[in-house]
Amino acid sequence: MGVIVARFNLVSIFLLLLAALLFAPASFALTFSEARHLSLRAGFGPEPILINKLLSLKKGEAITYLLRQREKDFVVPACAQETLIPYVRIKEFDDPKLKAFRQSQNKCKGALKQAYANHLLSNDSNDVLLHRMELFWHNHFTSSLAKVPYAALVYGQHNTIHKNALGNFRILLHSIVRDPAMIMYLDNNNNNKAKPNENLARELLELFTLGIGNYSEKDVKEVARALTGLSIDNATFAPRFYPERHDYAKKTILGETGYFGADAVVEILLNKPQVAKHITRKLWLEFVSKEDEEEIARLSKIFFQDWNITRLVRGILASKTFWADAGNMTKSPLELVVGGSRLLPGMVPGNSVPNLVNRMGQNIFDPPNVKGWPIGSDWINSKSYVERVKFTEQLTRGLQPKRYEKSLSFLCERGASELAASPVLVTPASAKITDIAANGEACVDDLARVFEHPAWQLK
Amino acid sequence: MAVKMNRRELIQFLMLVGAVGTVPSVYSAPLSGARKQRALVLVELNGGNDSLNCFIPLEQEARYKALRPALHLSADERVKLDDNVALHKALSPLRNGWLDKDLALVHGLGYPEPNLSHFRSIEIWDTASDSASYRTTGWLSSLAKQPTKSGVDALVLGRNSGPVAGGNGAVLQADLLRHFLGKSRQLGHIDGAKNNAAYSHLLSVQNNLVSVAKDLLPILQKKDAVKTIFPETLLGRQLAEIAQLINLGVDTPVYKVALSGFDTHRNQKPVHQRLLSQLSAALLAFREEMIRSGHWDDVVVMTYSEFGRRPKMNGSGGTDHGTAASHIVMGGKVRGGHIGKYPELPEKDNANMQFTVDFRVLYQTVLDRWFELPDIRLADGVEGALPLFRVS
Repeated sequence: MGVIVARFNLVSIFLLLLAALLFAPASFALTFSEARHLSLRAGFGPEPILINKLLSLKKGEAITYLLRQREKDFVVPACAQETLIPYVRIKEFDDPKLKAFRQSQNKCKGALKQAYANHLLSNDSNDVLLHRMELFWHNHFTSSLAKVPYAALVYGQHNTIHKNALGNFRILLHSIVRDPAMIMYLDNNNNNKAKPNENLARELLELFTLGIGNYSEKDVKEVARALTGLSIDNATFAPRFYPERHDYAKKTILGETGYFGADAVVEILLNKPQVAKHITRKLWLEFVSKEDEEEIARLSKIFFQDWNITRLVRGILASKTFWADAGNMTKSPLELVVGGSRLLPGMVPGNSVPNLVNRMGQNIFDPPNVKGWPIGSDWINSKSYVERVKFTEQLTRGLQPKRYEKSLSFLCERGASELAASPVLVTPASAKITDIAANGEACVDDLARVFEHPAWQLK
Repeated sequence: MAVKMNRRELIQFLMLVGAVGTVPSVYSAPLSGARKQRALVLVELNGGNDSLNCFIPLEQEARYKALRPALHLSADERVKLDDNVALHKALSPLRNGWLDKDLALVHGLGYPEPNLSHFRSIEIWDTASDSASYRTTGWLSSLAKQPTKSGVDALVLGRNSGPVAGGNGAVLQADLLRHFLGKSRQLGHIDGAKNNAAYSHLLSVQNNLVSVAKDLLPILQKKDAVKTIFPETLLGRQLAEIAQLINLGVDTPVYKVALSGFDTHRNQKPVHQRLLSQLSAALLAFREEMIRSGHWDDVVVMTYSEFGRRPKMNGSGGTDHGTAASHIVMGGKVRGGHIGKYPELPEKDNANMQFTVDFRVLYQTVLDRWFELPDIRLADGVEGALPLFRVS
């Protein structure tokens, strides 16, 4: 009898141990390297406050923590909120007045970039993943400050993106198609039945939804007709439909025929699984270095059901492929610069940031063309690389260890090379430095070596 | 017919079938002259240049005016080259080359099933692919048979390294070289892992910078190597740097610059005028400097763009994306004049022009005749058949 009980107990203990081993990864808090990976990939770099928080959470909890939204949007410069001067009035301006007007708008555009940069830099703002998603959508639904005449309209578009960045893609797409900055950026204010302008129609299909190869040139022309008359009010700059400019004849779009307008076009597109696939793939490549076709197919099917962006991001971040990918991607300029600044607050002058990232190829609110900023290794060419190296050198230049004791003790306690996405690339590995009061200079020297190493450019 | 014939085989084949008359005589001998490194300077007109308003087809003037009521160029806004073509007035500095017969206009460049997306179409032009296939290497990415002494197989000043990207050649990209190389000199060489593509790319960029800076910096710092005054535009300064490198014997075979802003969907006239003025002023200075320094015979300058624009103007005083376009090729060894047939302006409103010369025939001609690399074949059935170069 006693023997049987003992055997039973042994078996159950064995099973329990087995179960514990099997499920352990899901039930333990993040390791340092996992927290670093998540902070690098879903945020702007290995940020001390964020990493410390993540170290107390399990994977699922950590993703939930990053996805929670609680923050208000940034403080906009007053000039971007002023009532806009109607077009008709501007046309009457004489040359000096026109010049003054342009100058004031350019100044305001600069102020807008600066305000957003400050917002990203501030350690008060903890919604790093939300910011990453805002930048993702800015890049997906590009509109450029260089072409849109008013800073306020670009801010308006940002606000739409901010509200929906982790919300519902269906709402986001509808909002973007009738967004005044987008209408101006892609010339739909000049799209009328007598003379259609295809710019918005083409990019809507090619970049925003289906992706190239999933539509014909005929579809572009037909969508352009459906979008005729969708413009902006000349006085208020609100979106406005002009019936007399609209082509009311039948259109055939992606095989469907009817009397379609802008809303119908968006709904036709949202009925296409290719749209879910295209967006899922693009978002996947925002967070993971290589495509995983099985995962992309699985996640896009779910996305197609509800267009829930938060759910899609959660799915990507929870994927095994994501967690096995550390160090295989290249930081964007904003990730490099904002990440550096959040690591050593005060070492990067805030007012230098818009210029810094611009020289590296990422002009805030002003992507190079409608396809957006580069991705991955395309960020790095000889030109941008030299700018990046200059920046990393400046991160530690003149750093006084005494003023940064708290930061430095976090950055060097595991050895500075542990801050790199793939520490093995940084050789020799850094020594651990625990007593910063005594060894501050050594910590700073080692940080400088790690920052200036090419591996620092990875995430 | 065997589609994989090389040039020599093709000539032999044509001789056999008695069709040799269709092959221009320039094929019979390679370009002669002392063997200095030949260079190609590509000028990308980014955004899709409206070549119809650059090179006006006078024979089709009535149709041209009808398609562009508010956008056509009248007699006082253009400069006549001959009975066939007039230049946009802003391009008049190019007339020197035309009169000296070292500037060719290649008309009707395009490809079958044209793609009207900026990004896809420039990719097609950069990689010399056809409309439906995708290539990852630029058409000039594998020129180097042996390493160049300069360590730079292609120098890209400004945007888009597409035509030279993806190969083994060392590509250097910067806005302007001078300051840039000063900084690069302070980097060090690093060996590293190859199983991480992002990291390998970083290392190759860094290591290349280290060696190139060492070699080129002293050359760029040399005073008075360029004597012509170049315009103070970015394009002008870039072409001045290229002129300096060529003058001082740098053996880089490919240079590329770009001028952006040609996507003129609205209010085209003043914008296009400004861009063309910048372009022609910079090209004029470059030509004069190359002639002055005795390098004009070693250089070919060639423009390209993702597409031309729609013959019919749109409702915004601009033009939408189009297809076939004319482009400039100039250099001391270039046979000046018209090459190819100017496409017919379409009967149908809002239609596009049909290309008459596959752009890959132009490229292949440059590879065969200028670089003398006929083994590089861009596409089956594409032969470098344009009478673009002079035998001297």
